[in-house]
Amino acid sequence: MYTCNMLTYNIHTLRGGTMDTRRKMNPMLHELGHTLGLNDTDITRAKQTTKSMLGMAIISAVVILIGRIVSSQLDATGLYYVGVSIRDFGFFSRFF
Amino acid sequence: MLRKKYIPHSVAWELTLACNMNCTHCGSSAGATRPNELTTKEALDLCDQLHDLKVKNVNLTGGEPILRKDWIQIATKIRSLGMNISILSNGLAIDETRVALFKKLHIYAVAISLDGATPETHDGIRGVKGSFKKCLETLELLYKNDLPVTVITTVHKGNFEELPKIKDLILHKTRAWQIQIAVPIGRFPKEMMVSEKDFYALALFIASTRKQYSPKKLAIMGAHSIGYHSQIIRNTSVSPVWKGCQAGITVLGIQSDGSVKGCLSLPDTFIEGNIRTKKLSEIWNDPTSFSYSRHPCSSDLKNHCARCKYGNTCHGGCTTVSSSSTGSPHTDPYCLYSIEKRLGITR
Repeated sequence: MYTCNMLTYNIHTLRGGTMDTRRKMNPMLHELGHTLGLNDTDITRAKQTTKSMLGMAIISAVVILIGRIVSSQLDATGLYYVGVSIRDFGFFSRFF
Repeated sequence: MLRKKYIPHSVAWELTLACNMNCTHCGSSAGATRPNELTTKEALDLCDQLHDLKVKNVNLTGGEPILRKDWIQIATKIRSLGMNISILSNGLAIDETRVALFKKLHIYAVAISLDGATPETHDGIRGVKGSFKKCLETLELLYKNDLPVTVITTVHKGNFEELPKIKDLILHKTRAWQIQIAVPIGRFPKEMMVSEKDFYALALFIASTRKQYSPKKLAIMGAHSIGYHSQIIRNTSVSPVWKGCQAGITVLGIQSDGSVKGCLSLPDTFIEGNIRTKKLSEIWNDPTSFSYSRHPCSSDLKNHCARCKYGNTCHGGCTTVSSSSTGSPHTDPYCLYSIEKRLGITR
């Protein structure tokens, strides 16, 4: 039973769902989300998934690489510290 | 030959400290002009110096930047040198004529401050009756003119709970929404700062809203001081990774009297020099400048940051938040990772 549940859990995770939508939410998380009117669905939406973590890792690596090529010391962040514009939302921001 | 080590890709330039509002959270205590603000000639020369340093983006701020009489002359010079311009304004002085100028300048972003969902809250914070109504009209005008408009909301105890209502209010009036927390510098009292629980709820709100809407509908972002290594919440910032405070590394701040800091939000104790006495490139390239962010030591990390596994890359979070709330530049208490540990927040 345990193995079966774990398998379902892992498949769900790999499909990009939340890590654990069926297990009871951490009460503190629930309480904190509630202060800004977030329900359980909203809080679940805010959580990382395997897909978002993978996306972050890949995009970070790409940005670090580009940063190192175009400017020493720029690292990952410099290219993104540009301002407050909609134009700062690149194509890649969809993935994390 | 050695490559230049640091490039200030993004510069925040306080054109003037003059302001037509009197916000409770203003970190610059803006209102009257500084006694010794740069002349037009000095400001235009500074544009050349920024260009020489390979600056890409110039954020014109204040005070209220468009109150400076020669702002258009300065902005035109910046654009003629091929740099992008963003304008951070409270929206009160923006009219059709100025919108036409923004369009002519091909502005990168026009950021308008909106701090409440009701006139009572916004006007109360901003100290000007009728500013809420004017702000919404300005947003409408900018949006209608297809300008890249961004709403900036500075969050503290006085407006925290209104965030969901602000979201509903701006959904079809802006293209982007940046949320930042007020920090105890300038006029802002420390007791009005959000608690760490509220801060965590804020990050949940940003991450959830960001997932709910596509960037086309509402591109929401937490400012650089919201985040750091959460084990639970999605990324809230535009950057995919936090690699420490960028003040003096890729970011630079210039006050209207020519004083230079790594970031405009930092207190005056972080001033590295003045362009009236030294060339900007000399200040920027001085190996002793910006040592708090360029050469941080692990021994600088205090409290929770001293034992943190991310300490060596994070360097203790946002220098402004850290120094203003703890007195130490490398111990930002508003860190999602440390809050999760302290409050026992798990999935």
